[in-house]
Amino acid sequence: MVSLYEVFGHWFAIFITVATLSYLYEDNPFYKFVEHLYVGTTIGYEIIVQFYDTVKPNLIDRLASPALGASRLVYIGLLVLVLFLFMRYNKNLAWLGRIPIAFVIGIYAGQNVPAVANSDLIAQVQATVEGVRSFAAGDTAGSQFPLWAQYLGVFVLVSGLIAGLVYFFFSIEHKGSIKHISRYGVWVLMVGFGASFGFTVQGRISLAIGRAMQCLGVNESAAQAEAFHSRVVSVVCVVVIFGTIIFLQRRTKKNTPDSASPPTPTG
Amino acid sequence: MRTTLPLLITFVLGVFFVAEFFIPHAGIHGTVSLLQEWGAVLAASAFILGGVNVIQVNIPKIARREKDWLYKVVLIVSAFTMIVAGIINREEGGLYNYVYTYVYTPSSATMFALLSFFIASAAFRAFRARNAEATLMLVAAIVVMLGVIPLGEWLHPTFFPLLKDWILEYANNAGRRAILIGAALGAVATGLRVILGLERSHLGSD
Amino acid sequence: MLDFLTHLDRRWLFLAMTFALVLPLLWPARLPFRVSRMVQDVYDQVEHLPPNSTVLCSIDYDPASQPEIEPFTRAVFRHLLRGGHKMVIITLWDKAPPIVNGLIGDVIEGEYVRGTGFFEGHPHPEYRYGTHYAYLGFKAGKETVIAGLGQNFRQIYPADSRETPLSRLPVMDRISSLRDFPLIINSSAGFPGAKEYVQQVVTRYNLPFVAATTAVSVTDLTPYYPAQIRGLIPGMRGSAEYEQLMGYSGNGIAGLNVLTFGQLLVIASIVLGNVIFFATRRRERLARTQGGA
Repeated sequence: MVSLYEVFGHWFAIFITVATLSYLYEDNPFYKFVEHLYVGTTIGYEIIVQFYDTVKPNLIDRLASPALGASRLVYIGLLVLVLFLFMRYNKNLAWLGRIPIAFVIGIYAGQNVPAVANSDLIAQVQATVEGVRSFAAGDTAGSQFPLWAQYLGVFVLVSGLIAGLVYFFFSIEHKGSIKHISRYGVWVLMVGFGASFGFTVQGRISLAIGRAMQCLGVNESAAQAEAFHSRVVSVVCVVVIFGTIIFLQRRTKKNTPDSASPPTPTG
Repeated sequence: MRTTLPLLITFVLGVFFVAEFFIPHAGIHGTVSLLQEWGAVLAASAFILGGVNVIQVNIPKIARREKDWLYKVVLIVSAFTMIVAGIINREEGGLYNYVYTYVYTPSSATMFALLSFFIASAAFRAFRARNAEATLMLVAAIVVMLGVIPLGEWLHPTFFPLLKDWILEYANNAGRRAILIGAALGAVATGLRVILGLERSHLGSD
Repeated sequence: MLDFLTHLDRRWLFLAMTFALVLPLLWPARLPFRVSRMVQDVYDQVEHLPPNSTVLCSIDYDPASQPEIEPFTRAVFRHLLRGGHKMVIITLWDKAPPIVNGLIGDVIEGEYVRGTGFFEGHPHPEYRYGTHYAYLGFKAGKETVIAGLGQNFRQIYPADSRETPLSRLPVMDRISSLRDFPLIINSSAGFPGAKEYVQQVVTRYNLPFVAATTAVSVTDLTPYYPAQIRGLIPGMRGSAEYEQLMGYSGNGIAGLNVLTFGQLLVIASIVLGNVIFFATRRRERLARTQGGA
């Protein structure tokens, strides 16, 4: 059984979806309303989730937990750091806010220097060398590509990596043979960026598919379909929202015949 | 004091965490994980501070009846509704979860869904084969797109999927690894500058 | 015609994209597709887990990325449940907790325990919270949390999302850090996610790690595959392939069919844009030549 509470929620979700999509036509009051609603709910949600999921269990509950004994007193230090963060509202004490920031930055920097060097520098060189080594050792049976494509691939992998690094090396002037190598590096990078674009298209369209599924009531159970009437509600929302936008647009034009047309989205 | 103390804290913690990576002694684990827990709590507190700040910036705009002040009312009312609802009941069936499901989820998802429309427009207007580099990029993009969708396999069972995988495994990895290695060198250099106090923009101005 | 196309209002393209998304959902058409090696590797990692393993699932995505990653997450939950494995679920994304609660309610407490959907007719009421699975909730701190979990799990997560101390959850008995999991599965929509896991803990401790990622991040993560990331699910296509391996058709496969039409429209836009570009250039060149003559 679907409750009325759920039905209204579902209808409002469809209204929000269509109102947001109305931005594609032009900027309008429906979109602005949803935009501010989105920011407002995000702020409220964020404050609650950060407090109840992290600050409370890892600070307040720790301080209040008798099971931790005297060791919980250490958390007074953390409490002080959190209070320092909020000192920005007092002009004289605002500088204290730098201390927790310095604390977090110190941890992040100290943690990331060896971690990034290990995973993105050493491990990447290692993976490239290992790929070449196993290919040279004749370990080609597991590959999905024909042998010639593997030869070409290993050549592109090694030469492309070196050429790409040459392209990013700005301490020497790019002329003569260096210029040609770095140009080849750019070509390899461009193929990679093309692949990125291809996957980005997939990703972006996927985002819209989820919305289309909700508005068309795909995946609804029989009971939900009977209660929601998603397709009808979607059509009604489209007619009402776009009808109102067009009406407002015409009225504005009539009142100010010489004015410039309202802004349309960029992208 | 106002600058030296924060720089000293960053230096001590930075050196400690770098050293910990190379000396993974069991005795250090307790201190390291305690400090990481503190880092997590401070990050969460900073988020709360950010949220409070947005509310603080918008309330005076409503009071002064600035342009679009009515929309700011929507922002503040929805923020407070969510906070109060979250304090009262965060369980399934409560208002907090209801607003998340029926307001936050569709608005957030549709904001990002707009990008699918703009990418079609960008593809039509800007993705041109002006020179050799742009042509390579364009051809790779089309091959990958055809390799991803089942239609590519329908056109030829192996050509597009294998070519897409080849591009990913060799050409893309060559370029990405060059970027990763370059970026890693940059990240290490920046990290060391922060630890040594040469980079201090995060502390703001006096 | 050329002038019309050059000055085409982009809203016509937006309308075409709307039709490309809506029509295939109203009249679905399904084309067969193969499973890639990256996806097969994820499946094999789960399939070859020792019996009764406790797996960490890090669910790091928000509602915007749900269509891409959630079909995989549901499929891998079903896969783990079918194999009789235990699950410890966490999230590093602040927007994910309600999504995770929904997944647990639908797949574990709904389908598996009650014997509906994928587990129709095969209820497993003995799969209990705390003993067989636990949801520890969200933690702020991004990569610091990941690094912390590699050191000491209980320092970062003193209690689960229901405020029960981890010491009272039997599923956590032998877990003190990420190193105690035979497999880490990450549904990652960005930062923090698969990349940060690889940087902070996977490379350092050589952890068995697989990830599902948004299509946008695929090319950033392939350099880590297979040495650091042992299997990779690339966006909606990857989710659809995983559903195919699991032997059912869900939102991943349904979405992939729609994706086909959306991507065809983008390819057509690129081709048309270039035809206009070259035709305009040719016309300008001709005009210049005639003007010069």
